[in-house]
Amino acid sequence: MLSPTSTNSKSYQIAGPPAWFRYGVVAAATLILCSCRAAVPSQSTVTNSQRPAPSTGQQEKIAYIRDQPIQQASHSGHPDSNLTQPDVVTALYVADVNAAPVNVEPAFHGAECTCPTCQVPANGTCACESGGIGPADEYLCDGGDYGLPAAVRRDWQVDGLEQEDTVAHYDTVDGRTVVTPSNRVCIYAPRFGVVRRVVDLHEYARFDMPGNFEQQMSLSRIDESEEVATALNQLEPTINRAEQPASLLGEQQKLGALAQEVQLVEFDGSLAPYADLSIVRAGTVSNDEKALVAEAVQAAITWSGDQAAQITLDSRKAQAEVSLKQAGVVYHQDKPNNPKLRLLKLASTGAALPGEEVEFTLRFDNIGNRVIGNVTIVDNLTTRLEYVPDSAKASVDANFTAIPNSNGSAVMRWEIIDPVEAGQGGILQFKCRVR
Amino acid sequence: MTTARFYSDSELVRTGPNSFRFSVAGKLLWAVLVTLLVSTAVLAEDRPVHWRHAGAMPPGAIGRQRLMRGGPLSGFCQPVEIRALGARIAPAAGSSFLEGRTDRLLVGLAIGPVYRFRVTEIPGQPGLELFPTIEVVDRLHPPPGEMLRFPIPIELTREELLSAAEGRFITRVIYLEDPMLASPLDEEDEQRWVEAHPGEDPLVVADELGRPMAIVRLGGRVPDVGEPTPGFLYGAPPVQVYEPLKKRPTVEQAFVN
Repeated sequence: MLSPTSTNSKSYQIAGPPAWFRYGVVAAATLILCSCRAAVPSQSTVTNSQRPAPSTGQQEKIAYIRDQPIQQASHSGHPDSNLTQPDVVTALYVADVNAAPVNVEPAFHGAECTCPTCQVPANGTCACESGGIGPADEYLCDGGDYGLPAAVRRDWQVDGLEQEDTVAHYDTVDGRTVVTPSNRVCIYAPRFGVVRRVVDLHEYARFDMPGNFEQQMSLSRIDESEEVATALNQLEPTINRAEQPASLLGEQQKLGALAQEVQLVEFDGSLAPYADLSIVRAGTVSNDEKALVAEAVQAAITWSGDQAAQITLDSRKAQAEVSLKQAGVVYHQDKPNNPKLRLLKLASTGAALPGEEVEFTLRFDNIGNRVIGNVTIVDNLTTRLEYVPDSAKASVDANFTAIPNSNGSAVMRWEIIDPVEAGQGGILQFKCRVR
Repeated sequence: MTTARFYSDSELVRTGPNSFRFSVAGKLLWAVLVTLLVSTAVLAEDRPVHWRHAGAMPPGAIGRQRLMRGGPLSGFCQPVEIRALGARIAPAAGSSFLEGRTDRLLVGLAIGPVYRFRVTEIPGQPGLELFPTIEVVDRLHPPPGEMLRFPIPIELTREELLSAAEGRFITRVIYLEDPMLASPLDEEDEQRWVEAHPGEDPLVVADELGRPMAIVRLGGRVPDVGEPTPGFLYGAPPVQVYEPLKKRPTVEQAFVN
C-alpha cells in the first residue's frame, strides 16, 4: 500500500513484508537450529593410531578437579620447579638416521580415508576391502582417557574414570599428582541381538450357497497390548521426634563400594608370546620389534630406545616430538626434575568371540629423571569385558582391588607399594572374558 | 514500515530503480537462504538410519536402498551362519535347492539380493518343510583372515519354525549391538531376542539398539506344486557355501602345545 507522506516530494511509504512472515521466518530458523545435535567427538571409527590422544602415556596432566588443584606444587624458587608440561604428544625416536618420523595422524577421521580401495559413505565411516580397521561398534576397546579427563581427589579416589579408561597417577618429588593415560587397545568382538515380530494371519472364506453368497474375512493381525498399570501407594513419612530424635548417623555408600582385596598372583616371569617383547620385559625396544608392538597396541607410535640420539643440543641428548597440532619436528631436551610415567597396554589377541578370554598386559616405566611415588594404575573395564577372578599378576609388590562398576564390569586398581626410580618399571597382567 | 520515494528520471540513472526493494526483500531472502543452508548441514549430522524402511517393505528393497547409501558393500560376500538345531538347511540354487547341512550352515551372501532357503528334517516334525528368506543389509569388517570366524549369526528356533508352520509370519531383524549399550549378560547358546511391541517396526527398533545387519522372514508360504518358480526363489542368486570352521585353540593351549 502506498500512502503519500508529504506533499513536497513524491514519497510514499511502502509496507514491508507482513509481520507474520517475519515472525514465521525467525521461528522456522530457530526450530531448525535448535533441532541439531551437539557436536560430540564421536568414536565412529577405530583407527590405527586412534584419535590424537596419547598413545604411550607420555602426555601428562596435572590432577585437577572442578577448577581446584588437588595439590599445590611447592615452589622452592628453583627455576626448574616451575614446570610446564609440553602440549604435544611426545614421540621418541628409535635411532635410525634415515627413518622419517612416523606419521601419528589417524588413518581416518570424519570423511578422510587413506585406504585406496575403499569408498567413503555419507556417514563418514570407512571400511577397506583389505579387512582393515572399521566401524567402532564392532570393537571392544580399553585404555586411554576419553570423555572427561580423569583426576584424583584428596582421598585418592579417581574422578572422570569412565568406561574403557585406563590411567595411572603418581606423586612427584615436588608435590604434584600427575595423571597419565595409557594407550588404547581394541579387540574385534562383535555381538548381535535380534528384534522379532510375530504376526498371526487369518483368512477365512465361507460359502453359504453355491454361487450366491460368499463371506470373506480379511487378514487380521493379533495384537496384544497391555495397558500400563500404575499403582500408587502413598506413604507418609512419620516423624516421632519425641521418642526418637533425628539421627545424626550419616551413611554414605558409593556405588560399587564393595571392594575385594585379593592377593596378587606372584609373577613367575614368563610372558605369553604377544607380550614377550623387550618393551615389556625391560622397558626398551629395538627397531625390529616396532612392528610387533604396533600390531599389539594398534597405535602408530614410536618408542624410545637405548641408542644414541641423532640430534643433540648443547651436547646433550635431544628428543624429537611430533604432534597433530604442529608441522614438522620439534626437538627439545628433558629438563631436570622431569618426572614421567609411561603406561603401555597390550592385548593378547586382536579378535575374540563371546566366551573367549583375553589377557591384557600393562607395562609401566618411569622414563623421567626423578623418582615417583604412590604409583597407582586404575582400569575401568567396559561392560562386555568381565574380569576373570584371581587372574591379576604383577611383577612388583602392589595392592590390588577389583571393585564392581556401574556398567556391570569392574574397576581394577593396582597400588604400587614402593616408589619407582627413574628407569625402573613393572608389569601387570590380568585376564578378561568377552561377554 | 519502510519509506520509499519515487525517483525522477534523472535520479533513476544514479541510484537504479530497484535498489529500495533489494534493501528489504533481499535481506529476508538472504536470511532464509542462509538458514536453509545451515540447517541442511546440521541435519546431515544425524546418524544414518533406515528411517521409514519399514519391515513391511518387500524383501530386497531395504538391502538395495542400503547399497544406494554407498560404501564398500556391492559385491562383498558377507559370511552368514544359519543355525537350526537338528534341522537341515539348504540354500536355493537354480530352480531347486542344494543338499545343505544339518544344524549349521555357513554361507556367503551378498548385500541386496534375497536368498531363499529350505528347512527340512525338523525334529519331531517329519515331512514339514519351511522356506525362510534372508536379506543381508550391511556387512562386517573383521581383521584380515577372520572373516569366516565372525559371521552374522541367524538362528531359527524350533518354536518359530512350528509357529510358521501354523500360519504365523515371523520377522527377525539381526542387529549389531552397540558396545556402549551392551547388557552385562553372557552370550548363551540361544540368541537373545527382543519382541517388538504391537505397532512397532522391528527394523526401527533394531536401528535404535544397534546396526541392522540382516532380516529373516519366515512364514508358511510354500512353492507351487512342482518346481519352485523363479519368483519364489527370488532369482536364486548365487550362494557361497563354506566348510564349517573348527574351534580355534586358546592362547594357553597354543602356547603349551
